[in-house]
Amino acid sequence: MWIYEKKLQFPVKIKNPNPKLAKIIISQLGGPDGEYGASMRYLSQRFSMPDRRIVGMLTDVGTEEISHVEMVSAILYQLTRNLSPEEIKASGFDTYFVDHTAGIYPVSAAGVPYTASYIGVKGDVFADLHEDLAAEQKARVTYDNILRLTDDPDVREPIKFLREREIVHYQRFAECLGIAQEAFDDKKNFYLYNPAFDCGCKGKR
Amino acid sequence: MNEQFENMMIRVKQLEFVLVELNLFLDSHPNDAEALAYYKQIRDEHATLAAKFAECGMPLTAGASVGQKWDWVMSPWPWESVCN
Repeated sequence: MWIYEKKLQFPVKIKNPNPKLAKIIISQLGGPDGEYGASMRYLSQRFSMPDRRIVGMLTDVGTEEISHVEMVSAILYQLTRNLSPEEIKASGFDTYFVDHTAGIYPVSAAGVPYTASYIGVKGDVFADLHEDLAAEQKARVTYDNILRLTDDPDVREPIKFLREREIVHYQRFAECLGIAQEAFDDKKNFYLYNPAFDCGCKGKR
Repeated sequence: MNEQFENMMIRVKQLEFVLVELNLFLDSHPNDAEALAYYKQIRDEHATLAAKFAECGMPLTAGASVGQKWDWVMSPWPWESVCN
């Protein structure tokens, strides 16, 4: 189960609202490589992992990603405070505003709502970990792109933190891939069987 | 929000970050005794500091509430930027 701590993992204190920037950054909330997807992907994959170390890593990284959903939401909340109708129209935020006002709704920058189609759960440790490695890289690229689009230091600091966490998670999943390979009993053929399905009689390590 | 509280908030985040990183390392290295000892040490320091938040009327978890009122809901929420 989950416990909530009433603080952000990293501070978000944005002095200047910027709805145009919010429309871009929202992709890290509800976009294809955003934090909603990351958290749901890892928290779903963990159930079919054959090794408890990998279950733990997916649980803990997935939980951290939920705290990143919160951080991105806080960024969006602060970027869209106290807006006038003129600011809403001029920024292009009007197309989001009409449906959601200043609420936080998971869409991409292009306005596509978040969907579970963005995540994969293949029930196979090698396939799932490779998806996770790719997911973290794609998230990192998305943060790179956001950094190209703003000079505001109040926004850049939490975004840089989130970007660094993607890189760290990538490294941890690479570690898990090594664990999965080392734990597999046929070192010449990792595809011999699916340890999460084909041998249910074996206990988990 | 005063400076002392701000410093407490920065410190608790730093300690928690260490715990998060050690947590992830221990997930793939569950038998590493040195990492585990360090984790426990930081966890103790964190627990001492976290308790102070409740005393200031800003409990970090619902279960930590100690005030006469239910500070858990009435204290600022993290995205309000007053203190997050």
